[in-house]
Amino acid sequence: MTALSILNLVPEPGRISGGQILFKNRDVVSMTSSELHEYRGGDVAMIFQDPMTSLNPVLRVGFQIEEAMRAHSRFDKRQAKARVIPLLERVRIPSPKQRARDFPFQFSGGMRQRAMIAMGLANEPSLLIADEPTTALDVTVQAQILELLKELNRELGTAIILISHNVAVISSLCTRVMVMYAGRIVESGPTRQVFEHPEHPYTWSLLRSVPRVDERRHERLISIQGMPPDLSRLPTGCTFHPRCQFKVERCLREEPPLEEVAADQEARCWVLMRNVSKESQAART
Amino acid sequence: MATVVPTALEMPEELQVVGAGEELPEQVTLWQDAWRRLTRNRMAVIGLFIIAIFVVTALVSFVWTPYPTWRQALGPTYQGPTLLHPFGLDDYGRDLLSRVMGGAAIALGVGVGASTLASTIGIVLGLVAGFYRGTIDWGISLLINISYGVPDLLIALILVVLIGRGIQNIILAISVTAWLGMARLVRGQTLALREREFVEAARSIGTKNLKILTRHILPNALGPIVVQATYLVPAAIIFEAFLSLLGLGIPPPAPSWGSMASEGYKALQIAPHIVLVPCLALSLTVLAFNWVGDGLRDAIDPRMRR
Amino acid sequence: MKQQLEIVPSERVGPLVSVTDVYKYFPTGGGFGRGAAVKAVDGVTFDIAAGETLGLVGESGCGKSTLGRVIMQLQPATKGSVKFEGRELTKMRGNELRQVRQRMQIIFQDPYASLNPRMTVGDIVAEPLKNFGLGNKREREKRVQEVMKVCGLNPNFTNRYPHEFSGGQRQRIGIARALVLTPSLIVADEPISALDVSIQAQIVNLLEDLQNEFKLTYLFIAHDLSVVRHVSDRVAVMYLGKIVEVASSREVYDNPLHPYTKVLLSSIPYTDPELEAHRKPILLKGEIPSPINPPKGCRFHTRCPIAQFPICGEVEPPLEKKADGHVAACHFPGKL
Repeated sequence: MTALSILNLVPEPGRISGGQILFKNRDVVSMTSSELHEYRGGDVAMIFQDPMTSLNPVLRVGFQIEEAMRAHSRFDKRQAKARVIPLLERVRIPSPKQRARDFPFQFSGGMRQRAMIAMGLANEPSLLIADEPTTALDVTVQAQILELLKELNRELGTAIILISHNVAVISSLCTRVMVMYAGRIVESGPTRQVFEHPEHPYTWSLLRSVPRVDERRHERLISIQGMPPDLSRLPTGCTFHPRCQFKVERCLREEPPLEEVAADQEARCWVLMRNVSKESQAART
Repeated sequence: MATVVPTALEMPEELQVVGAGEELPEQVTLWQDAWRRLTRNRMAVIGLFIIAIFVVTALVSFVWTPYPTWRQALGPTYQGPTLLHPFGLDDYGRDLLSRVMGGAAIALGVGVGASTLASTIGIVLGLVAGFYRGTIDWGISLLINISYGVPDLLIALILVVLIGRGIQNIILAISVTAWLGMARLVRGQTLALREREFVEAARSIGTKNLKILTRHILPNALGPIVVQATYLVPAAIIFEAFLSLLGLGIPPPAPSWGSMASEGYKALQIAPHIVLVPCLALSLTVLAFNWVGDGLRDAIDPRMRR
Repeated sequence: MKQQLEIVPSERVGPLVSVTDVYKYFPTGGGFGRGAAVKAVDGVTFDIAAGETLGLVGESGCGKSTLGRVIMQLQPATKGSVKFEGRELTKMRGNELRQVRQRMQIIFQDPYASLNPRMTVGDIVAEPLKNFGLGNKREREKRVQEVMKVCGLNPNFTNRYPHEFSGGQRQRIGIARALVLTPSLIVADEPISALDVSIQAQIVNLLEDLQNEFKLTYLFIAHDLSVVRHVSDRVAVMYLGKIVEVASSREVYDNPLHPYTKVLLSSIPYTDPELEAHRKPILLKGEIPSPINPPKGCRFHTRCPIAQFPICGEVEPPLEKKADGHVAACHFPGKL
């Protein structure tokens, strides 16, 4: 949803009720519709979890990529046509000349995601928003897509916002991480720092709730009790307190602010994991 | 030795009841939910209201009508509406109000009767064909497809001529073709439902086929079945009226709306009310059932669900 | 009066489940029965010992779910033998097979699809008892409430419908239904992959607790190697309808012998960013071949980084013992 807001694509009847989204110092919320048009798909591109639903099943893949460019003014018709094959090549689609003439259903899941990425890159955006891009894919294909995204980030300098529930995928691709819970950022900072020293109990539990392939011995998983809250009836105080194992009395009354807890690291918590003794942390495992 | 339920297993202490379930929302069954949607649909509510009036009228007509429906020469033939006879008199001088009331009973009887009979046949054959597939399905589908090729009216006419024109026979004659659509619908639903995971789950816990059909497949197909059955009622009423219009419906002097219209049309120019009254009653009933059918369809359609 | 349960005799010899040379082909279209067949399971042999958790991993379309259903006899095997508690299942029909279902159960991936939306939770959990005529209404109710409690569900909600529960709770209902007959084997088909991450751990822990408590045997089917490693004693890896490697959980992860296993393992990102920075994924080339017409010889040779020709393209490597308790189907085990 945050990603949709960045694109100013919040579905009706929702709307962005306040605040600013600055992109290269322009406010996206107050853009006119023609400015928005250039911005979406031009400056910022988005790829989704399920590429099949975002590709038009009755149009050839090459044509759809060409169209993505024709919808914007960056490339003229000839350039657009000429760019299709190199783009498919760029995302490592084998024999791109033939493949450009295929329909989406002739592609495998991984290839469709590559085609989506090619379409996203068509207008040389400075930001790519990837919403769970590998969730529907097998691990070996996921590995390929992650490598591709890393490469694009390194070689084209495209900034990437990766939205994922998979902490390992975040660890693999992201330099910085923002942890969201019930519509709020509860922790943010450099990935390595946050993952090694999580300060918010939600981040801490999340990291210990998933089995790791690098697990040395069998440790019981931390299970976060209860369920995510109903966003229309948020709990008072800290929104995480009903599921939090380290809450204090204050958490029930006051919502903590997002504050700097270390260099570059911010967390929204009255307690902070550094203040929880190792013994009581262990008691929760 | 009697079979016994496996006994209490000690509940491990570390397995505590997860509290999340405590705050379940107010309990609503799927049917309650559908009913709520239906009653929010204005046309459906109007339709239900009209149907209720007709049902009450039909029930009342069994014990009381202003005049006996068959008594002739109550006044001048072809008389228009008067205080004594608010809908006027017909070509034999019979009271039209009384006859429309009696007609409501016949129309609803034929409509509901044919819909029930046709639905029952259609549901059973559809379930069997869709669930067992193979040769049984091949046979039933062939029967359906062949029957679709023969005009309904022709089959009904032949049947009426062969077995006579009593109300049961009319219901039978209508149902003989009306089940086809229901069977097709139920077969399609069953084919889709039998592949659903909860049916596989039912098999995995040793549920017998008959139970799978009645407890798992049928209840989940009930939504579209109810809608289809509702549409069958007005279709059967029209069909009966049509048979009567051709002189092959329920025999006179029974006040079927169809035969009333067919008797009246000869005097259309001098006494249009004789045709108008039964036709209005017919249209209103048919419309009401169709509105309710549409309302049910929207209320049950899972795509409309949150 | 306390009635003793029929417990699997611990001195029972042999494995709980024996799968021998099982094939499952699905005919494709054609209409005249001549069309090609999807070779979903193509000659698979393995055992499951009583009390263990065997993890079955592989990518989508490798046939692991079909294999689970063949073991459950929800799909008849095209060929081969499935023995459960010493009895041959593939020859059983009708009522005889129905009776076996008291001893083996399955938990499904999608808790939304596997519960009948028109039945109350109490009826869903009680249905297995009813099917076998166990107990009277009161006894059944009591048993249902017990099992719901054990599975972390509030036993007062027996008259609620599935759609009123969250995904995690529905999965608990599915587990309660599987548990109510006290089976010895539970096939868990991707039991957590449809759930929210914060809920997955709850279900994994529940399954572990139930196993300890009731001495259950699990066949745990999943595509997620991290979860499989976490829950399994032994792991079997499947590729394109065949098992390519079986070994203890630790052995598979520390010392994978089949190149496909190695590729799978290298593909999973680490949660620890430090370790992750040093991970070198082995990227596969090409796409997974069609199970209608799998490659000759070793099925993996078209994508294998160490395939040598002509042998890998012509001779199918048998699944054979390469080390103690470690079998693999590869001509060059451990060379990648």
